Amino acid sequence: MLLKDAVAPSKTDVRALGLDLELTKWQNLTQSLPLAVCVCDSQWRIVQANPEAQRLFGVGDEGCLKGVFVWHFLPESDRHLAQTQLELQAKVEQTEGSENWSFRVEPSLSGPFAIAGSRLLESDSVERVWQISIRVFSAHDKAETPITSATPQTESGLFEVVNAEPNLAFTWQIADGCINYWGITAQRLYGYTAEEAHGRDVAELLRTKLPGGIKPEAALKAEGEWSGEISRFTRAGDELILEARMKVTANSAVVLESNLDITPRRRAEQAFNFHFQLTQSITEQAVDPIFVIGGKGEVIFANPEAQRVFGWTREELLGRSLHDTLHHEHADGSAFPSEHCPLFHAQLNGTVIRALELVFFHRDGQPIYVSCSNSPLFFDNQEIGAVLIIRDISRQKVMERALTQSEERLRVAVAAAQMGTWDLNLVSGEASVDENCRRALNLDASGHNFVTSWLRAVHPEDRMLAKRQIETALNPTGDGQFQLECRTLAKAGGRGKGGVRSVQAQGQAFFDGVEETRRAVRLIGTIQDVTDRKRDEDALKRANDDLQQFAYAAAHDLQEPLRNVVNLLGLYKRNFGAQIPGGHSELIDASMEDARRMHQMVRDLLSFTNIHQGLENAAKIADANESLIDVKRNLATIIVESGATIHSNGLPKVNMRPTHLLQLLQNVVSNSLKYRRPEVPLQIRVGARRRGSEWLFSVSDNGIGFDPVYAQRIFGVFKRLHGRSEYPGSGIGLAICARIVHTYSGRIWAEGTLGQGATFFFTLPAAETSL
Amino acid sequence: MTPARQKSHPVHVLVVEDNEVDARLVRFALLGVSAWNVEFERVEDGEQAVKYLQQQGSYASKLHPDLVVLDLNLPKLDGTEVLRMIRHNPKLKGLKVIVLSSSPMDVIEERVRDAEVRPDCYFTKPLGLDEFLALGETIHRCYLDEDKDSHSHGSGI
Repeated sequence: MLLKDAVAPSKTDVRALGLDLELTKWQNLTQSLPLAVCVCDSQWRIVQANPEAQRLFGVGDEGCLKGVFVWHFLPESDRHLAQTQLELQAKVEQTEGSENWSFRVEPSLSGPFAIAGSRLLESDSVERVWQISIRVFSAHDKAETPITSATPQTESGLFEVVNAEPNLAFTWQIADGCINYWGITAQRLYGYTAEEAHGRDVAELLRTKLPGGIKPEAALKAEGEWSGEISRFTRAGDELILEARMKVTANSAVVLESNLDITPRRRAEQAFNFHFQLTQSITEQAVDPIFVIGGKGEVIFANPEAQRVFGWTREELLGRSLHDTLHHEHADGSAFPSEHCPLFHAQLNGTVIRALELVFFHRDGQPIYVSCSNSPLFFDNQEIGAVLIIRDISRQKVMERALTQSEERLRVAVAAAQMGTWDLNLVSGEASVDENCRRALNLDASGHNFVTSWLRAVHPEDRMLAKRQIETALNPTGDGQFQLECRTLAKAGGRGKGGVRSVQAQGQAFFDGVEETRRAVRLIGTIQDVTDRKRDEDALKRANDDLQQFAYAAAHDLQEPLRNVVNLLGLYKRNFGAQIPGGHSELIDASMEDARRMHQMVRDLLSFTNIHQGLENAAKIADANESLIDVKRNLATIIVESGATIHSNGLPKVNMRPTHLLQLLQNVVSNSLKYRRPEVPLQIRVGARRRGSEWLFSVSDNGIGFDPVYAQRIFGVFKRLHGRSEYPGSGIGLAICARIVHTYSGRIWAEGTLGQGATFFFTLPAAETSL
Repeated sequence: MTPARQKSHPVHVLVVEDNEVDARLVRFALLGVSAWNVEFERVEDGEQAVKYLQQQGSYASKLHPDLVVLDLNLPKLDGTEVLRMIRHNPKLKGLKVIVLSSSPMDVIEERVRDAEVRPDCYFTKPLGLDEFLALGETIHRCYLDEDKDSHSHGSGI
């Protein structure tokens, strides 16, 4: 029979049968099968044939096959046999209704072939439609031998494949995990061709990731199927999240897998979860109370901090009006209806508010100062409520109040001291100055060009000094301290008093930047009119100088007549001594003695007042060792006479005039020499200990000592503890010592034990450099 | 110079001193030195001293002295000014000046520190006849250059 004779118009119109979807599926599945598969109508005429069938039947396109009886493509010798079998099968179907069947036809010239089939679709009103596969065996094949291609092991397996899930993607063998069928869906999904996929281990090829260590094998073994969510990788390396369904074939050898790509959905879910958790953790951990309010001002959400700060639990707050629960009153206790509340209105109207200060109340009635921010909440372009973030500013308020009070006090203090304050921004050149400052400097109202106007106010002779002091303060390598005392010169009738006045200013510069980029950006300070004080100080100084000069002159001039008396009496005695009657000679002697004494006292007073003379031009460093040597030389006679020894272990250098140190040491040693115990050899020890920036000297002796009650008295001018007949001296020696020590800001004191000895202590400034 | 020749040439001493008693004591002191003959002239203030040394006015005929014993605290012109004038006058080069002042030693030192007004020796006037008279020998030694730049403490600082 010729091919064209076998063609009869097909009665089955595919569309009429409603096989659209099924056939498309069928096509996808069978497209790449290396197995010839056809769909036939109930009369065994071909409706569809896959490319392998086309190849097997030797036709170029499907169209030629349509309506042809399927057995036409079998070898002639087998044709009749196949037809008989198929028609028999059809009858069997009608009566018994089996699903899958298969039979083999052999022998044949071209080798045995097998036909397997199954019902594809059935509906009441339609004729049966079959699906059959035709496999041609070669002579070497055995029916039971599994074909190591990507086909289901057996014919029945094939039908399971074809009748499986709509998303069937591929199949793999349970024994070794190898892919034996790779359909269109799989190709599209993973990007591998059938050739690339066939025979590969599915888990290895697709880098299957099973969540949480789930093993589908167990479920497959137990129930024959498993479904769940897994992720796999495409050829391009993209990760897909899939809903996979696995089903084991009837012979338990092959697993059919369908994969639904749910990646976009999962990604969206993950993103959502992430954002949700992020939001939640923010609100949970936030240090500020956060509320979400609904459309009517009712609480929808309150974070843990909100619950803690206001003393309500979330459950208690849900549904309650925020205003009425938490800020229904003013701070003073007066009622605060919601209509008047700006926050309430903002929430209702959906406006944004930032940092509104209000009073909220704790559950127990305690007021809490807060700062609120409100923003409306939108979902799907609809306003559903508002988010309210609250900051507790109670502590801030307390600090503000303390600061205000502190500023008040400062203002009062500064006003009382008539101090002016100034704050100069060096970057912008702007300055803020107060009234006192303006008055002190005769400035006009504006703060512009502060430095220029300020310098203008300074007395011309002092401008260099002022400029230098400013430069020193602004020097980036310095500590930014500013000190200036200078005169100002102003015309009378101006802001302040006219004429020459004195001001004292001090301040501090602040710096920005580091090292090379460091520069002064701000200079703040105070200024005070010290004219009156300076005048008083000057007057005092002048008075002091006058007194000093007077004392000095007086002492100096008083010496002369006294010396004259002594010398004249001496001359008289010398010239007429032999002729003076007995007792009268003593009168002369007594006069001379008193005159001498007086001369000495005047001399001592002269020394005393002289201490402050000419301090400016003196050498300022004295070596105490040398001074002690000089003392020993000056007092050599008395030292030898008294058999005294003076010890010293080495003395330091001090910051003072050498003549002063000499006088000081000599007077103290002299004192010890004078007040010695005749029965005990006099020992004098001179030592020095370092105390910070000072040296603490000690001169101790084993003389007669003194009652500690008189420890202060002995330093008084002309104050003595003994009569003149016992010990000579005017009693000014130690007073001079005290004056010298005080000149150098030191301290001097004495410790003594009556009958045992005394120690004199005094502090002197250490010399800075060792020469 | 042998002592004999020394003795035959009197040493002319100008005493610049306003205190009568002190002037007399200086005379006694210097006369007490047997090694020399001295002849004295005295002026009582700094102005007179300058005039004398510049041979002005009534002092036109006066010779330059060999030694000046100079007090510092003088009326009219101060002793240091006299000393300055002496040091600046080339005609008076080589004139020996010995300062004998009632001021304490350190004050004297302060005043004569400047090289311009440096005396050959300086002393503070001692208190006590014997000490003063003993000064004669010291002054004599200084005049002879034996104790250059000597100064004694006298009766204490």
